[in-house]
Amino acid sequence: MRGPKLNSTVSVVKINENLIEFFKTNTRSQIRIKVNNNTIYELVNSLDGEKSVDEIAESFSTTPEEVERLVLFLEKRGLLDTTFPRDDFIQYEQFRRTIHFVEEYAISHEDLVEMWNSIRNAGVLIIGLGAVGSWVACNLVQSGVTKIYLMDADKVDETNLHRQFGYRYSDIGCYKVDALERRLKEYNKDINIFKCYEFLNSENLDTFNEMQLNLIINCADKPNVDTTSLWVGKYGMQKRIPHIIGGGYNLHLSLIGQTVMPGKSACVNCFKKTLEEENTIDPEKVRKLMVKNRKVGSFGPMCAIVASMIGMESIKILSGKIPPSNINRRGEFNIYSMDIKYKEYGRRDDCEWCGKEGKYFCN
Amino acid sequence: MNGSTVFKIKDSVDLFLSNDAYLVAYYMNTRQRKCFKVNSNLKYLIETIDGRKKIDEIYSFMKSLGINGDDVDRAIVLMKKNRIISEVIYNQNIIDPLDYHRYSRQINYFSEFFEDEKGGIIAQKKLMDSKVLIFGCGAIGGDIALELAMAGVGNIYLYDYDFVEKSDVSRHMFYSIECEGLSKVETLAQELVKINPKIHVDTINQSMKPNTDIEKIISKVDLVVNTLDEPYIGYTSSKISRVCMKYNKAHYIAGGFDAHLASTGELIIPYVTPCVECYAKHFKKVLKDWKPSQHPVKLRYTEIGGLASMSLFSSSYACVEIIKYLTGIIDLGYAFKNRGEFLFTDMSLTYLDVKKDPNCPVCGGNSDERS
Repeated sequence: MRGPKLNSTVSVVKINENLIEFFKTNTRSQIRIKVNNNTIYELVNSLDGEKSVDEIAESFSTTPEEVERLVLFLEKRGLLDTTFPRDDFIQYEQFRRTIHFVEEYAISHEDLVEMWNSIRNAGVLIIGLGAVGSWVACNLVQSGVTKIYLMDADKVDETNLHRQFGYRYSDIGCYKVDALERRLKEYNKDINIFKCYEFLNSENLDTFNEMQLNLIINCADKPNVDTTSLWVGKYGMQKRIPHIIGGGYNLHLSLIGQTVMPGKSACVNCFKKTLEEENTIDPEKVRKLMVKNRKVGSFGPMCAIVASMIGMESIKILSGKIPPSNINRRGEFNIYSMDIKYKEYGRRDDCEWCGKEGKYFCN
Repeated sequence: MNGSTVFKIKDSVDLFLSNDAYLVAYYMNTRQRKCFKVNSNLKYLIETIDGRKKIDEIYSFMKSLGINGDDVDRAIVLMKKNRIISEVIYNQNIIDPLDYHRYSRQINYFSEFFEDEKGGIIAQKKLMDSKVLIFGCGAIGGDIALELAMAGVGNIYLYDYDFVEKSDVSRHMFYSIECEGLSKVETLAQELVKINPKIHVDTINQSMKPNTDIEKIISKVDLVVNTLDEPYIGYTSSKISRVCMKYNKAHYIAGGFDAHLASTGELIIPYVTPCVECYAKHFKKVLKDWKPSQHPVKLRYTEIGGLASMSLFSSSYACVEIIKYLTGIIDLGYAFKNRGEFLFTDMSLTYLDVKKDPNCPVCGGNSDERS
C-alpha cells in the first residue's frame, strides 16, 4: 500500500449535499460528517491505497497537510485500512477475515496489531466438551486463538453426535479431549493444546495455577450447571480471570449464560443471590415433586446458537478492546418466537465474593 | 394400555404440590399452568412413574399402600389427557433401532412438542427421509449442511463450483488444512459421511449460469437452501425462487445479505410467507434514498467477512427453522419469521417488517388462481 485506503467494510453514502455518512458494515454503526462541498466525498471515494498523500493533494488542489488531517480523522474512527504492513500480523493470509473484522474497533495499525496478538496469544480454558464447548473450541481456533486448554473426562458416545461438533463416527469410544484436539489441529497446525482428562470438581482447577489463562468458559454440567458455575466463578474471582458461564439447553429455551469480568461486573455469586430471592416460594406450602430418570432431550442447532454467542463474546474479551455484551445479564433464546430476551442482574454490595466486604473485592 | 405399558412424566412438565391438596403442572414449552385438586396419595403415584416401571408394578406398589386400582386408573387417564405423562415406547417399529439409539436425545426433544414419544420418533423419521438441496457451500451453506447431517437429514445435495482455500479456515467449519485446493462440495461431502456414514450425499460441482437447468433437481427435493451470492444474490434468489414456487417447494434464503455477520435469513413457504419478490419490493422502498458510492477498493470482498462464530449463529438459526418445517414440531404457518438483523456489538436480534404483498406478481392474489 502506498497511501491511505478506505476500509473495505465501510460504505460511503451521500445523504445530501452537506452530509456524508460512513456506514460500518461489521458493527452497523454510522458516522456522519458535515461538508461544504463535494470535495471530501470525492476524495474519500478515491482512497484506494494506491495513491500517496502528495498525489491526492495534487489531484484535489490542496496541501498534503490538509489531506493528512482528514486521514487522521478517518483513521481515529476506524474508517481506514490499518492492516499495513501486513507482515506485522502472524498468519495474516489464513486469518485475514478475522483481522479485518476486528479492524473496525482499531484506531491505528499498532492498535490492531496489539488486538490480533492478544487474540492469538491468549490462553483459553474450555471445561466440558459437549453440545456447547465443542463448537466454541472450534470457533476460537478458527478465529486465530492458538492456546487452548481442554478439560473433560468423557468419551465420545454415539448419542453425542447429533449435537456435539468435531467428533466423527470413527471417534466413538475415544476421549473427547483427544478427538477434539485432532479436529482443532486440522484447522491450524500451529496451536498448543493442553489436555486434562478429568471432570471438573471443587479442587482440580488448581491444575491450571501455573498456566496462562486469559479466559475460562464453563460448559460443564456434572453434577449440575449451578455447582460447576460456582467452582469456576470462585476460581475466576480468586485469580481475576474473565469467565463465561456457558448456558445450554432447557427444552424450548436455550440459556445464554453471563460473562463475568472480575471487579467490573456482577459475579456468579451476585447472580446466585438475586436468583435465589426471585425463586423464593413458601416451602411449607409448595413442594416441587421430584421426577426420576429424567433425561431431558436436546437439539443441536439450539445448542450451537448458544455456542456461537459464546464464541463472539470470547473474541471481544480476548481482543482486549471490544467490550463484552453479556456482563450483568443472561439471555434466553426461544424456539417458538425465535427471539432473544435478556434479563439484567446487577452487581451486589452485599455479595460475599465481590461486594465491598467480600473476599474477592476489587475494582 | 396393558399391564406392561410404561409411562413417564413429560420432560417439559414441572410438577408442584400445593398444600398437599393441589397439583400444579407447569408446562415449560407453552408456559401454561394447570391446577388439579388431588388427594394426598397422588404424590406417591407420581414418584412411582419413573419411565421404567410397568403399569402392573405401579398397581401393586400402590396396592401395598392401600390404594385401589380404580383410583390409580382415574389419575393415569387424567394425567395422560392433560399431557403430564406420556407412554414410553419400547418396541417402536418406525425407525431402525440403531437410529433410535443414535438420535435418542433429539427424539426426546421432539417428543415434547407432541402428545407422546411416537410423535417424536415420526419427526425423526421425517428428517431421515428428507431431501435437502443446498446452493452454495461456503460459510453458511457449509455449516447448515453439517448441522442438518448431524440432526439426521438423510439426503443432502450440495451445489458449488469453488475450491477450499487457506483463508477459509476462519469461516468454514468443514475446513481442514489437507483439503486446501480441493473442491468444496467433495470436501464437505466427505465430512458429512464421516459424521454420519448412513447419509446419502450428491454433489453438483458447477456454477450457476443463466441457462443452467435447476428444475430437475429442485423438483425432486423437499427443501432448498440458497446461499449463493454469485453473480449476485438478487439474481440467484429470483431464479431459484421461481422454480421453487412452480413446484411448491419451501426454500430458505440463507446468504448474500450479511449472514456472515450473523444476520438471519428467512424460510419462504410458497403462498404462506412473503416471497422473494415481496422482499425485493420492500428493500426497494426502504433503501430508496440510501445509495452507497462505488467503493474505491476493488478486491474488497476478499477482505470482508465475519467471525466463524457469526456464521455459525445464522446457520444454526436456519437449521432450527428448517427442522421445524421438515418435522412439523412447530407449525410455521402462523409462526414464520422474517429476515432478522443480529448485532455483534450488543447481541440483539430484531426483525424486518416485511409483509406479503397482496398484489405480488409471484405470490399474490387468490390462492385459487395460482394453479
